[in-house]
Amino acid sequence: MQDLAAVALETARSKGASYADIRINRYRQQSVFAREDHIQDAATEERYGFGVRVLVDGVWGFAASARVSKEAVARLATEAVAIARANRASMREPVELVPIPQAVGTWKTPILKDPFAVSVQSKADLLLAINAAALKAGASFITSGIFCTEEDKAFASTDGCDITQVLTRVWPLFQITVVDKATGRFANRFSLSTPSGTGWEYIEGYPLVEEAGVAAQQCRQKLAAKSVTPGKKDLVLSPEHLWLTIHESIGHPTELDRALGYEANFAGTSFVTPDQLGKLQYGSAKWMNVVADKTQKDGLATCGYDDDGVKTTEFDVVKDGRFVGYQTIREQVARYGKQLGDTRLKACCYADDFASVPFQRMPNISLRPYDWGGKKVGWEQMVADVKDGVLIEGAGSFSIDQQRYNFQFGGQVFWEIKNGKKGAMLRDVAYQARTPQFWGSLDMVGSPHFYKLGGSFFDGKGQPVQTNSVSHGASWCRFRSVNVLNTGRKI
Amino acid sequence: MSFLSDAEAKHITEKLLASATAPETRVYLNPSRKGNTRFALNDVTTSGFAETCIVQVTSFYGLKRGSAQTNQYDDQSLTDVVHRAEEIARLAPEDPETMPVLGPQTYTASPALFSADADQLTADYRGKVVAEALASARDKGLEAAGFVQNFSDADALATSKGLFAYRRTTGVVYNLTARSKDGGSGWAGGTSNSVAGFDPSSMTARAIDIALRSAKAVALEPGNYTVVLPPECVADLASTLLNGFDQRQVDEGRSFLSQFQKQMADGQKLFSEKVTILSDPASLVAPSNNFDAEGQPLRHTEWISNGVVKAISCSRYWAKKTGREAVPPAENLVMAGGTSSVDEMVASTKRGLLLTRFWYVRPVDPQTALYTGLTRDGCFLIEGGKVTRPVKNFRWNETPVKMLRNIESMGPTRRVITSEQDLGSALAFPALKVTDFTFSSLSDAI
Repeated sequence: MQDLAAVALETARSKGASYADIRINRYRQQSVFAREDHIQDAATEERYGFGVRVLVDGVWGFAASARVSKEAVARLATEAVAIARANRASMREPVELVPIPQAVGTWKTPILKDPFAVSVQSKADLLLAINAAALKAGASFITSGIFCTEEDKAFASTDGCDITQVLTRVWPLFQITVVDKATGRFANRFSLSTPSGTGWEYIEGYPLVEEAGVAAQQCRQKLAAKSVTPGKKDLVLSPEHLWLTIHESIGHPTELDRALGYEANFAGTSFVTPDQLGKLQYGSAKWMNVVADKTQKDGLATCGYDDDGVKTTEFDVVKDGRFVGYQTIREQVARYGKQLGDTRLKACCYADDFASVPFQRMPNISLRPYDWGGKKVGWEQMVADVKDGVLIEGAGSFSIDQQRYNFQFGGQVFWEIKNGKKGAMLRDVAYQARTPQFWGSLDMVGSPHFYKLGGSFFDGKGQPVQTNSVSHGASWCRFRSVNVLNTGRKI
Repeated sequence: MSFLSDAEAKHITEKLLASATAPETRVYLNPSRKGNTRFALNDVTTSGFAETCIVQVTSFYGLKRGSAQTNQYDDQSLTDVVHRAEEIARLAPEDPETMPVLGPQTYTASPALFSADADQLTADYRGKVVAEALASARDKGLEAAGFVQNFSDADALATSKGLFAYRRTTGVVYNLTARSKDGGSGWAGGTSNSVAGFDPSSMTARAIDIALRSAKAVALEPGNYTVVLPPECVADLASTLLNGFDQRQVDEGRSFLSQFQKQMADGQKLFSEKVTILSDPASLVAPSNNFDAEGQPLRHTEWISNGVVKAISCSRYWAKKTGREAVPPAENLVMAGGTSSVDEMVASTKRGLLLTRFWYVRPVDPQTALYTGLTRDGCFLIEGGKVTRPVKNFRWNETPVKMLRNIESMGPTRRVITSEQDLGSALAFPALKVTDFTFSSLSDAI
């Protein structure tokens, strides 16, 4: 590693780069899938390579290869410098980097049991047990799967950083379908499980087999459920649902690159413009406190250092309902930090592959649970004060506009709330809202007892699109008077 | 890295197959080179180049199957990846759906898939495209953001039964968004397998034109409107339809097509008779791969002909089980067009909307193929046959089934990129004038 890094950094410097870094990364993935009573796919993948990033006269250049040798490193470092020079004519404002502490260290996801050391047979046995439970409970079809991933990363830069990290993540999942041949209707129910930045112990501790039985029964119920009456209703949302709403309506709008226009062509911009930092009332002053944290236990975005070589940290995004902090990376702090009055290093730089250009990606972003002084407060306490509402479990359909104003979310299971009681199952439910109004209508947050992380392996952003793994935590929450749609159609 | 030629790829696949001990083996190679340049806020932001190679081995022991993948192709790595695939296959339980590997096949030629000019593209080409876009945007007082990407790759597939298939693909993709200080936003983009005939300048000009015309949009009540959809919108929604074109899902009752099995068997129209959608690797406008991941040949396939469903994809396993012919899924989609220009569609519209593109299109209900999404980067009101003013964006909830039933007129077919696509899949669709499109709420997003 040291030899290759030295070649990259010296070559880049000798060709005129003022800054250079190299990432030499190895990735491992394993997946096992089962359909009904048989295993359908068992696959393993290993790949590695390096990416060299250079700054020449304030212009970025990047080149990567899977052929890891001193010759290739020197050739690609030269290529990266040439790419930077090809773009120099178009550059108006040179990139600068804010100084960072010289980071030398190692970091590993704290795991108890290596998921890659668990046999394929054990994984297959678990999946077949999940499927059997679902079929026994009335599922027509079920597909289940387990993903395990590992990023083994080495980073060195001309700023003296020398970092190695190993990030481990796992994800168990299933999808159940029930078909009613008499009516021709069908319904799906996805697992409420979530990917996690941890080891096999997460899968061992998650009641997947039990959930499969419950999910199959709920899927059957969905077919006979009452179609929702649309209109303004109160919503009681589970943590397994809310993570996605947090991701789309708080996570993405508070990315500084989006707010400034860097993602205007694809992912979009943000309604949270820089002039609103410290001023925008994002949501309820009493209930809304949102924290970004790349050091959070079990978080998918958790690591020791980001891909700028900056040590990871925790920072407030929304405090007492007010927007107080963007997600940023090193070059943004240099260019915009003083103007924004926020020069903290927040370590939000990430590339999804050795061959991908690092850029600003979302840390774990979570809604803090409310301190009820030790009292347990969850959906039951929230429902008690609802006349006409819907309780939603699990994440479903999702869509949001390019400035993160108008969103529409579905879910996995919907329950009618009438006069303070959770009642019958509903179907055809989606809710639509405008982000600041929605978070302004938050009027109750559950206690830490119910706090859970949800998340995704596949948060997409950038061109070419890169995926980021990220978690979002929440307890149960209640929102007042939200627009609920009926999505039932006849074709 | 010099690119893997036909002969070099065959040499590597032979090495992989020679080191295999499993009764059956399938190997796949995918070396690729990609370069890209991004810009935003009227400046270049990032630019990169990457060369990678996928080496994938699938080993078969009767009904047991497993696969392993690496991105290295030195001799040791090739031996290792074969051993890993065999190890995981031996450990995997039997899968009754496992199908034997294929022997030699005959493939339709796809001559437009590769071009020497796109194969040789460099950062300088991308830099010139970007420089012109930035100069044009600055000249009009606009702010531009966009992306140029070129790629060149090869696919080689071989089996222990003597199949060997090889193809080369090239491509260039460009898209940009231009925004004005008073709330205008315009987008344009395109993709091609060849540089010849690919015209980034016209895309830049179109995005700028829309940005200048879409400023100061006013709010319009959501509801059901007649819409003039450019080919990009049609492709975004119509291509989702094919997700339900899977014979097994249809038979199992979990495709939106399941409810129409009798109508399909009777040859009844499910869509407007104007609708014909096909796949064809030999298409010159949107060429596609000519073999799939198992080595099956992809052929000219009409999925919908004059509104009637004519073909549904069917896996080799399901075909064997149900006594049908296997039909690989679509790798490109070409919808037959008409002769109406967008101007003519507007002129014939009393009151409606003219759109630029969709955004964040996601499924809502698979039973009815219902999708939701938004309009973006130029939404205009049509009154009395004329575009009268820009209006704010909408969220819509609609099914492509209804869109393809409510066609009033069609434009010529052209190659497009969809709203969340950057590597350029092969889609060619016409502009459509469609009645009764459901817009469910307003979006303040610009």
